[in-house]
Amino acid sequence: MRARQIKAFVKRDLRLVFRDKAAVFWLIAWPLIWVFMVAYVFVPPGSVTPVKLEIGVVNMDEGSGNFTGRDLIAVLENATYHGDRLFNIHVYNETGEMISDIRRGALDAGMVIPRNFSRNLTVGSARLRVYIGFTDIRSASITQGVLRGFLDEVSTRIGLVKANITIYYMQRYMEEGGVYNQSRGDLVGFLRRYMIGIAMPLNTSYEEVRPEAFETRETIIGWYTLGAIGMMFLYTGFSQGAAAVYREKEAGTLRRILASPTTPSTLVTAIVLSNLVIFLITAAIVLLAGVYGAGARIVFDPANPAHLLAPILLLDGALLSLGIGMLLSPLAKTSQGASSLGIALGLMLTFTAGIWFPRQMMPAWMSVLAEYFPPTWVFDTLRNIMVYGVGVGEVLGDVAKIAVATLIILIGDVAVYRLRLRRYLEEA
Amino acid sequence: MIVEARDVWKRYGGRVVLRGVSLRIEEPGIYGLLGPNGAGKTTFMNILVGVASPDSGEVLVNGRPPKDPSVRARIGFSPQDPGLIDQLTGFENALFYAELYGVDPGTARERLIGIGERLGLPRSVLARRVGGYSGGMKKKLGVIISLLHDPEILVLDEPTSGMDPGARRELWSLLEELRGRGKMIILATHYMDEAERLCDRVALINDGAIVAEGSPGELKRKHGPRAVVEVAIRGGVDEAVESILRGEAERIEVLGDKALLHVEDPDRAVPRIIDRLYGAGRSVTLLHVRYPSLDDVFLRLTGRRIEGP
Ligand SMILES: Nc1ncnc2c1ncn2[C@@H]1O[C@H](COP(=O)(O)OP(=O)(O)OP(=O)(O)O)[C@@H](O)[C@H]1O
Ligand SMILES: [Mg+2]
Repeated sequence: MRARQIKAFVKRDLRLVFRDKAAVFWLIAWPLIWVFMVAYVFVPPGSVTPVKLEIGVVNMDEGSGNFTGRDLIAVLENATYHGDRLFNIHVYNETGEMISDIRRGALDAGMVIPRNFSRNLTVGSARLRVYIGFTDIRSASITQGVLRGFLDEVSTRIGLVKANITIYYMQRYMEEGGVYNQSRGDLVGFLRRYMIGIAMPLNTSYEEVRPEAFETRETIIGWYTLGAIGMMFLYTGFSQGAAAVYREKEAGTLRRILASPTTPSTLVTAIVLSNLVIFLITAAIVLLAGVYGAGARIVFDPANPAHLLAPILLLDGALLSLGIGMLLSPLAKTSQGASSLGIALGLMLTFTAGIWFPRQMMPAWMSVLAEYFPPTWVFDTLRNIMVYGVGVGEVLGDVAKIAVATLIILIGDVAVYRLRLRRYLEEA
Repeated sequence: MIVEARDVWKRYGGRVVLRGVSLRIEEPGIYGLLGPNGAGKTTFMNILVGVASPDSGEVLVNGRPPKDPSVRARIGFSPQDPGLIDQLTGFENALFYAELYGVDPGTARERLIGIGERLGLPRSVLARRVGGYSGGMKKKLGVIISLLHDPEILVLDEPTSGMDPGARRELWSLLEELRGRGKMIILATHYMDEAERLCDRVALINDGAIVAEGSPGELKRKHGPRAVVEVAIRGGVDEAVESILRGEAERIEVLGDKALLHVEDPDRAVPRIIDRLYGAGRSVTLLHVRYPSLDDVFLRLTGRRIEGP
């Protein structure tokens, strides 16, 4: 019976939504407009580029040798990823000046090549000091990841060159009258492996890690596709959650529904479920259009446990928005009022709480809002999973936080509805 | 089947809307709640079907409160405002509600088409969106929806208001048929003829209280005058005429150029009325003697009329 009643609501509401041009516009067209806006106006094809890091360099190296400070700068300047330059190099004469530019945010990082860099490199190991601009943890870790990967590789290459040179000299020394015995070939082979071992203590490949850390056009569009879905969830969820019961009341349907054997809890469940179904359908349309129409990078791999979380998180994002909307409903008196309140608040939070504009772009005081706004947790986690390919272990903490927040909001909703459902009817 | 209200009080804001309503309906049949606008009929019905709760007192249906879903499942309720969704067709609206009662769509559809045909809401109309219906069509659909789950008890709030006379009579005969099948029908109305013709019992409700209750015949016998004399006078009913007539009737009500006189013995009163009017130089343009209606009963009990002049 209960299931049947709920089905009746879902069927009815789907009909209503897809017959209502305005609803279809706000649910599907509006988010898509923004996804395509990002894809073709803000980051048109070819315009982007993995984030290019602005790197300052102070070169105090005076020596000459196989590999000097100037060589390092040249390598940095020529480093590419997918055909795009990775670094913009700015040469400074003075460390203090460079550090203050990092502080201003003009540089992502800076490095100091010390006076005897090239000499140390030839005879032993050379030191390199790197300053990472820490505007926020995400961009700092990207910068650090890129630089570290790159410099490790440079260091490995230099090590290899050194090892080969050493082997060459040793070989010549041994051939020209040094120790000569039958096991000479074995000795050289042994030394070769030994020396290469020195040069490459760890045979790590940074290639696999690197792409994930980069913002490409695809990940930017992926980020905003989820942002557009989040925006749609917020304004529709808030307004639907706040206005749904008023709408039933004003249409006169609430009286009939409450006079039927439908219990209040079935009614609330039905309102929530039919909205969730609508949200999932529209989110799927926006996701597919984002991926296949706008070229967003959104990965879904059912074999990856983190990705199995994604649909649940998406549902939870919808549930949270509706749930917050329902908490708003006592603040209004009519469906008009409730719906305007929901839309206004939903849009405001979309733009201020990190759903549509990345938190990193906002002043610190404002990003506090994003810190404490559960829907932002949902969408950031979704982005980490589906856009940046983060593993399940890294998101479990966020998922737990989200689950607790959802639970608290739902308990609040039950309280509100318990208290108010019949009063909605009787209040003039 | 027993519907019982015990001392039901309801307030809205500071305003008392129901003041101690008690009634008990045990037999199948048609029970009318008759009262003017604002008397509290709708409020009482909402409490009866569990949509509103009384401030004090209680309503029991077969001994259980109507908040119990199993009680509500056996009641068919047609609210004063039909509660239809404009963007859905007649079929879609009706089948949605039928499903809330667990009626399977095939059966609901069949019943809908059958009753619709009868009340003048044919299949072709049911297939259209309700937004394009007239007020009367919506009312018809609203009433039909309350019948789809074949309830034992029907609660109808002004079911015929807005319907054309043909549809009204058709609905009356449908309700009589349902009565014949042992259903209990409780209907609110402010139409006299509806209450008199259709209802087995009537509660007269005024300002939130039941002022009298019984079959229309009983009520008229008990509370009504023997007869009502309507007189129309050329030049209208003025002070002078009123003072002449006052002596001849136990109650007078003036409606434009007409006066309604409640009299106990029309055979004695009518000649005297004519004599005295002509004696005073006034001429009578119409004189009509009739048996009292429920409206006359209501007027006598409350000093106000249900139906306007
Ligand atoms: N939700 C409400 N809030 C405040 N007052 C209300 C509410 N519902 C009804 N009332 C008041 O209660 C009184 C009784 O109203 P009700 O609708 O029950 O009368 P009714 O007999 O059905 O009248 P009608 O014949 O016009 O339908 C009216 O004075 C009305 O203003
Ligand atoms: Mg009413």
